[in-house]
Amino acid sequence: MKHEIRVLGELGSEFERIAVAPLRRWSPLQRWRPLAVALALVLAGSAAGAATLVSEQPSAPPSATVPVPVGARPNAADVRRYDVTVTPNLGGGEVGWCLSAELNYSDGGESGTGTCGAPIKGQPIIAFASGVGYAADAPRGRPAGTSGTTTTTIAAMTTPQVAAVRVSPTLTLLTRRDPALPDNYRIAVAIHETATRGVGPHIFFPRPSRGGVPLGAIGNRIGPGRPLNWVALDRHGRTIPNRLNRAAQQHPALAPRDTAAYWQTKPTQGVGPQPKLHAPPPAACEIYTTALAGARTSFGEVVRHVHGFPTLVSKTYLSCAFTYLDYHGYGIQAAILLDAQHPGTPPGPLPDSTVVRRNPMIVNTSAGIIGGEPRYITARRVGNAWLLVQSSGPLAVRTAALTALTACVHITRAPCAVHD
Amino acid sequence: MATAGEFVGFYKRESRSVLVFFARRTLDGELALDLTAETFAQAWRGWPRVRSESAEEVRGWLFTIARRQLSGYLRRGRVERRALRQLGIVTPVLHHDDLAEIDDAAGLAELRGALAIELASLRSDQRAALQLRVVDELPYSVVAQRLGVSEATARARVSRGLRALSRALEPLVSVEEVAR
Repeated sequence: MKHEIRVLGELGSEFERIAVAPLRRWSPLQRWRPLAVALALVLAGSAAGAATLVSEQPSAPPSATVPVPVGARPNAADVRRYDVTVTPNLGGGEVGWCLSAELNYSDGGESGTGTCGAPIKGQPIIAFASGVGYAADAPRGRPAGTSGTTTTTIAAMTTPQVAAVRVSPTLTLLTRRDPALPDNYRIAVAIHETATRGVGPHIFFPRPSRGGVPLGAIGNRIGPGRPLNWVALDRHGRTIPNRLNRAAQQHPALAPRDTAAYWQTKPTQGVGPQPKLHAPPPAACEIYTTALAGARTSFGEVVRHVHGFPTLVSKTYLSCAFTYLDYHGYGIQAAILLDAQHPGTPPGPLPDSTVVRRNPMIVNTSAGIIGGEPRYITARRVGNAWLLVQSSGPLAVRTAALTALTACVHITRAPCAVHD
Repeated sequence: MATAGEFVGFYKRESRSVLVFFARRTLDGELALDLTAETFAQAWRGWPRVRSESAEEVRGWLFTIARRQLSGYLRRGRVERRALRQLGIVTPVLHHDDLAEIDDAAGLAELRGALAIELASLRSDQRAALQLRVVDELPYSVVAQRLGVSEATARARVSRGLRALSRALEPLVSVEEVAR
């Protein structure tokens, strides 16, 4: 007799889950059903009508526009769009990836959170973001601040072995694949909006109940100052221990870094220590802006001696030079990325990047949304390194800046002589 | 109209055949699972319109979707995931023992042996990509590194190589449908 193939059983559970809901033609609203259901239930003030009971929650998509639930009260603090983005860590000397979550609200406001980390052996969660925000309503006839919305943001990028991430006794998020992520990493995302009374912030999670947890139910309050407990689980629900970090449940992602020298062109205004360097010192990686007419550099970091991190478990980048500059009113971050494991060997392709039309040597990739504006990384190879610019400016500006910038990379101690 | 409960039963009956169908044509367990998942996600979306009483007809309809998925993959070099995304379905994480299970169910070991002979007929870049991915079973990241190309290019070379070989492989891969 043929035995059952395990993964087919697991996939079948997914179809059983969606089969619980009434059959209907797919509509765009259905994509955001978990959040819409959560809002509808919470705003109705009762979870009694919950039709779908789950003990684990599928990850939400990394980015979504959230529809206004039918019958919901308009609230300036409602999340209208969120974007969870993973980008290389560009800071001088930094290694690995940064995960950022940006939320846009009905009233045009924004908030963001995120951390950076690297694929180190024994660290199942590579980068994460968590945040809680509270916004008060001004309901008619009641004092301001007596009710509002608490928004909880949870996102994590994990190694491929992580099937779920538990952040509280009542909330476990299943991870999902995403083509924009490098090395088959997985992501788990949840944005919870909960109507609350009184001032926040408090983190709300669904109450445990027999047979599962109704999505979006008004839940247990985890009071201010009580952190999430991050635990990575494998496909059998077993804990994948973090072997590096005793405080991993509170801060599950770390990254090594190379020593970098900070420089700043102008003195710091006000109190505080003054920068020792006012121009980039000679270093293993150097970015030259002289051919970029109209550019004004502000600050940056450079790695003088590159070491590399051979114990990393998958390919990632080491930023060996970073420069922030103003170019005709556009803020531009320029960086040189090396292969972090073996500097001097070709670094891997930039995740989800595409070749720029009519510029076959230049690639472009999204770097998320910052301050409500989409941001991009545009890059070209310089020897065995990437030279890149990151900016919200248009492609023409990024391409012009990238083409005019020159760079020198030398892993040995020889001085930079050849510029690409 | 077919009910949602019937779809779950339909999945349980047919998912193995669909997975084997894809595995024997792509020689890649992970890819086969992705294509299976998208095929059933598209089938789920079309399920309310299924009217037939005949199990064979419904099965034929499912394999039409599967063939369309396969040809889309061979043409584009990537798996369509639109229906999966729309339904919020999470594809399971595959581990080595799962891949071995799929290999075993689809009899991929002997097929890989047969493929090694056919490889000689391919262009050198496609042959190298198929050798590394399908015969040596290396992850795409390593294939890309060995070939000095991006992962997307490595995937495209593998899919083009499989497309080029599909005619030669067809007599071999049809076995499971006859034997079923």
